[in-house]
Amino acid sequence: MTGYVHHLSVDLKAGVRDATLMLMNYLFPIGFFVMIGLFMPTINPGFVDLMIPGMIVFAVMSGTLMTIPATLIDQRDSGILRSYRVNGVPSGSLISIPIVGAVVHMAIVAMILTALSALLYGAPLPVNWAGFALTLLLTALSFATLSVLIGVVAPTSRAGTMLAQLVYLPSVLLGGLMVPEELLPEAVARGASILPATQAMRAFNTLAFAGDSYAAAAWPLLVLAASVVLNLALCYALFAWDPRTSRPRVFALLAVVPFAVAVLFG
Amino acid sequence: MNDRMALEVRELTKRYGSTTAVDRLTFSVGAGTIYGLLGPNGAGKTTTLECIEGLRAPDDGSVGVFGIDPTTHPKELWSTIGVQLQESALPKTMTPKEAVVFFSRYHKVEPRLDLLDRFGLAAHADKQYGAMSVGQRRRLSLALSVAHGPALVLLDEPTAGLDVESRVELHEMMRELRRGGTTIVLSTHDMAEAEKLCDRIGIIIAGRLAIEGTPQQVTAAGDRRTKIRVASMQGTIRADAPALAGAEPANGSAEAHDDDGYAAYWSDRPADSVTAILDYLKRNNDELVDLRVERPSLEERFVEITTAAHGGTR
Repeated sequence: MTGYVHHLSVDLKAGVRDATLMLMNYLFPIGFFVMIGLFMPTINPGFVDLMIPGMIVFAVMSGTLMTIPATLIDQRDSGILRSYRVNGVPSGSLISIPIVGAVVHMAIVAMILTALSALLYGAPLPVNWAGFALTLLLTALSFATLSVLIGVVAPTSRAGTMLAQLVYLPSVLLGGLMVPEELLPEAVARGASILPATQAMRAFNTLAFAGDSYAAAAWPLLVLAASVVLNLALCYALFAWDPRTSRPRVFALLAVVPFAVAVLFG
Repeated sequence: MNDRMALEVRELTKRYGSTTAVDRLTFSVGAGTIYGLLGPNGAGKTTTLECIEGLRAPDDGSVGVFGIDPTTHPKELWSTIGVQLQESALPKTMTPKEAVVFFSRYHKVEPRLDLLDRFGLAAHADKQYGAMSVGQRRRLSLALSVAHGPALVLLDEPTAGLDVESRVELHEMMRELRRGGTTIVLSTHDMAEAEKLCDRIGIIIAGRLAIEGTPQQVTAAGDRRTKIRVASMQGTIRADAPALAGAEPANGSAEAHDDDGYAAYWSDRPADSVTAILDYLKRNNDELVDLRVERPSLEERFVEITTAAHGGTR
């Protein structure tokens, strides 16, 4: 077994062993789903149609934005990354393994949420399963790479949490998770295109649940894919083993570019 | 021990902004020896080690680890050296057994799980890092630093924060490594540790090498007088502080009237001074309780050097 594969297996185990990761990866999104499923359909009857994609995007955000930056910052500040470096662990492993791990955990939680939504609340299942899987993959990758980027550039845990919340909270409110995008004022809906969650919801709704063509979902899919590539490039360019290493963190703002393009042209 | 050089540092310079942390530092370490890097806080020891470890790029000068340049060949370097960092950690859910396997995979060597036994961690092999004591973590860190069979091991304050028993264990482990041919570079504040373990030491002050040699050479290069401390039943010698053959009361009354009722003397001729002390006690009908002849220690020499470097203000 190579170092990379073994590292990945250790990371996956940590996702279950670590109480915080276990909570944010599984318990919190599933608990939130069960709770909100009890009353949300009475407030908003259309919520059942949004339930599977909405709860999946919520789970992905919780399992990435709420865990990966803090873990990476803590590893850098406590010297874990330096221990890794002097033992020949490449930066590529430290960037890619949390992403791959997140995709695995998010795939599992997405399956659980999909099954529970259909069984408990009669939520409609995807009509295009391949499109569902593609959207889930791109969504998980987009949020995971963004989370690693936040972990890479945030100078402190507090700054990392703040940056993550800057994406997380508006996404919950305006990303179309709880309220359909169509019900938002037009300007707000257009502005919400800046959020990865909005793009993910659009792709899920059109491609996976409405059964529209891939061409119809091309914009959100391309925006998500572009964000993955850009985030990864920025992670590699800005990665530092040591908290004292200075680097041009401001370049991380380039991560907004695909979403800004979506606001203007999408 | 042989004549081959494990480490050669030449004119090493490292600056942080306007501060020069390491200033044209030059020293070398023979293969199979233990070399101690000593110095006060902020002297540049950790920065020096980090340049050797490839964690920082020198601004000037060169480092060679068995001929490997850390800045140009880090992968070769990290398979040649083992490192225990001053500030290092592992993920809190990782167990010692997993850690040994984890790093072995990256080093492409067979996991040396036997090291857990050798370093007293067999009973804690499945304990999560977050639940381990400081001593256990230090032992694990040392075990990991040697798990891939490095030829040079760099240890930064390896016994800091350990209890006496754990220190003794770690010292024995280091000796064992040296017996096996491993070269060790040790950064420490503990003079007794350096004196006991190191074949050679270098004292760094403000990024420069102030003195280098065997612990005995470094100690002997300072004040060569021997300290004699004496306690008597009636305390006459302590009260009178008489002039004695070859000896003078140690630096004024405060030190002459040493702690616990001892009188202290500096002596150029310890044998004559001891005889004179015994004669004095006999003449004054006093009785000897304790007599200690103490050669200058490395610690005293260290204080002497650092005080001189700071213009005698320490």
